[in-house]
Amino acid sequence: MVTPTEDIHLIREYLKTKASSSCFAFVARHQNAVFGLCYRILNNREEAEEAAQDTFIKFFESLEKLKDVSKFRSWLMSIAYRTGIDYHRKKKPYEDDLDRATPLMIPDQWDPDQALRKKQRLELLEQLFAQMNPQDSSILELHYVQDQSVKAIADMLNLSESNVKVRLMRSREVLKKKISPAYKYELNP
Amino acid sequence: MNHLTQEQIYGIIENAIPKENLRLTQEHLDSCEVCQLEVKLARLLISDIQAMEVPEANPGFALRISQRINARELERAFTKPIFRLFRGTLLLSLFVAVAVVVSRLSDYKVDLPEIEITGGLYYIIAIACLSLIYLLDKVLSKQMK
Repeated sequence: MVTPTEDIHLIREYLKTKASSSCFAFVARHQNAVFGLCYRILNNREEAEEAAQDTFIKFFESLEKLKDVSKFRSWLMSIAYRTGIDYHRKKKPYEDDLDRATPLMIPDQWDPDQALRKKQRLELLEQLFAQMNPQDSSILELHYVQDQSVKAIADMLNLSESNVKVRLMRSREVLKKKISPAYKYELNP
Repeated sequence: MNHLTQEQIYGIIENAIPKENLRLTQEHLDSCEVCQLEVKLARLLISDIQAMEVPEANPGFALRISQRINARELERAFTKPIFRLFRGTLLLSLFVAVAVVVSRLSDYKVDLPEIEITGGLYYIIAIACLSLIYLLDKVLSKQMK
């Protein structure tokens, strides 16, 4: 189980000794969170891995500037977010409004098998996330997958809490509007 | 009571409805099929978002990162001002040493069967040595970068 106390201990040890073992242990504990956020922004495994590597290097190089070590997670995730966005900007301009993005091809016939229906829906969701503004997909990833509070997300993304709430609400609404036909079978079996 | 707002619907799912509004919200939900359907849809959507697969980082990711960070730490140590000063001092000392040796040697005449080494040739050899030292320094500093 990952506890912040152990992380703080690892960070202090790294700052003191620069030991690669503490660096390795810290990365191993946070690689999935950082990689997950970068993947949500970039939708590409290789690019996400490069962005995640850059994130950790920037994190360790700037550790001495971190005044309050207990806020390491917010610091790490904000670096991951900024690095992911930088990579994304180099890649291509994104469709800022999901409403105007390419329409989804929702099948008319749904498989009677529940697991297969879920698989189809997840594929549709993947497509929607790939078309989404990376800020919105990051907020959804951090809130629903990484279980971060609105306040924590606001700190990580350097936004106000109300801005995060509005963006969360808006992206859920648009997602729901786009994908609700895919839930017809589940709502009216 | 009107239908539940989106904020209330997601508030129910995330247990974030303020206590003072909880009873009224729950009463409405129990009696309203439209809102029950909305909550069910929102629950399904959230559960699907949570089920979306995010690939994990490649094996050896943490090891690669810690090695890269270590290498950068080493590089930073070698490019610190104190090391640059040390390198400069070392270079200057080598220059002076060569100059001293050459000035001493130029007083002597060495007669070899095929070539006569005089003062002038010593200076050419000295310039060649200094150029070599300079090139060595360039190569070293490039490797550190």
